[in-house]
Amino acid sequence: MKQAISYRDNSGFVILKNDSVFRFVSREYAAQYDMLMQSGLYQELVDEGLLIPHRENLMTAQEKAAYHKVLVPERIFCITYPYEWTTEQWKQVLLQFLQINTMALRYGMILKDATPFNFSFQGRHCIFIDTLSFEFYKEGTPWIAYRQFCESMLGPFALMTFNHDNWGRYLSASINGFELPFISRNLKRRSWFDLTAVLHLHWHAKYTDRDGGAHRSSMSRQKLQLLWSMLRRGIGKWKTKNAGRRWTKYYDIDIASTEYMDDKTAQLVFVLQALQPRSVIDLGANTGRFSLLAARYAGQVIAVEADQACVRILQEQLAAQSLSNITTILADIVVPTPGLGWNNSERLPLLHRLQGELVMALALVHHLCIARNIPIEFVAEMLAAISLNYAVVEFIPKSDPKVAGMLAGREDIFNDYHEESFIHHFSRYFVLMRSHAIASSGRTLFIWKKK
Amino acid sequence: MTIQNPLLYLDPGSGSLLFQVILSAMLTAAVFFKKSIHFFRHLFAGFRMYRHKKRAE
Repeated sequence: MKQAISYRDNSGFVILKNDSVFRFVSREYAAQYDMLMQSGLYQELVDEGLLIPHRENLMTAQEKAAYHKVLVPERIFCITYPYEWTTEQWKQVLLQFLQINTMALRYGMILKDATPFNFSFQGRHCIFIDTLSFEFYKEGTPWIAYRQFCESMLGPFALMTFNHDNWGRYLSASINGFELPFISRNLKRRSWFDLTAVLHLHWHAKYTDRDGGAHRSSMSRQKLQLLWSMLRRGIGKWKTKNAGRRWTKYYDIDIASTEYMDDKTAQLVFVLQALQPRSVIDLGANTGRFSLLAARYAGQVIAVEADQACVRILQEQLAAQSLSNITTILADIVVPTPGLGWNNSERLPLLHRLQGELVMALALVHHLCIARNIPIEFVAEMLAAISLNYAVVEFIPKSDPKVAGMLAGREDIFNDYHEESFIHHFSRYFVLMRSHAIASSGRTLFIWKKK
Repeated sequence: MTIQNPLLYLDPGSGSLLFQVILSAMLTAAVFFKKSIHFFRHLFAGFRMYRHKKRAE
């Protein structure tokens, strides 16, 4: 019955069934779960928006015999993983983890593990999703999750902060975090001038191979609180670096005419108003100009973008406009994050998680086909796989100055890249509802309905 | 060292536990330092209040 998405902890497990999530609480964890619920900790965390709310499901007689409870957590529209977050999102997660621990300690509990996979994002807010992570705190016991915290949370974040923000993506190659000596060796020298990095990463790394023997630290409640508050202060001071701004000026520099943008925007508004999609996926969202537009008409929007600087700008706009129905995913759609961990199914592949009623691919197809050599039929197949109903796709012909520029320095091997071929391949999966030649350009906007 | 709790599914790492002994000692010093500052602040505040009261009399 268990699924690979959750198998490590014997407190319970999660199964995905019919688009719903069920969390089974084992009998061994009954006392901790009841304490979480009855102490007021659960309610305080949920009220603060830090922990995912759940309801207790009615159990069958068979379930009652085997489990303490079956929980149905509130549905998160699209789970995102740490390697799909920006550095700012990582910082938010780390600070929230320490905040939850501090709050839990007041109720005599503590988080027994420290993995960023216990968090996900709902819009711009991160939320703790592992309800069964709370354990009784025993006065004087060491912080069991300390090494895991340093290897899978603090260390990767330090590498993103002191070195380069691409380090977050490398976590997909090592989902349990990086070993401390590896982190210490790779951190830039300036990290040696930071007390938090020196203490918890560099010095800590020197002890990883030593045998603890009979030594046992006595980490009192007061010391733990002090440690977490020092960590919060230290991490809070770490400044996230701005990544390269290759695509951030796309709308300002690369878009030649305002008539083109105005007409495209008007067409999109018309389509979104007419279709009223519950969910929209904006592939190649850039700084989110059209994701923000879609958010006015759709319940949920997922903005997928490979450039961290663009995602950062979009997140700043979300915060400025207090929007909570756009979730960003930092990912390259040509190399989507695969299934990882046990049996390749512990962490689900990006394309399995992306499902939207309407998929937008605006000024994207030429990048995929010309710059990345993806055959146009592959693009049609991929969009059909993640769209539940509609696809809005912009086709940019070879005569367009942008495509001409992309082809200028190379041989044109893209015989299949033309509008007839585009329509032919998309017609395998979709029915054409409408096409519109966008003003002041040779570009066309196609609205497709899935067959 | 074994942790007497069947629900702990994580290996805390013996080196990490050893490092926490050192960390704990540092935190003890920090707590002591913090408490000392708090104590002296209170002491001086009390002394200042006493002098202020004396002068007022």
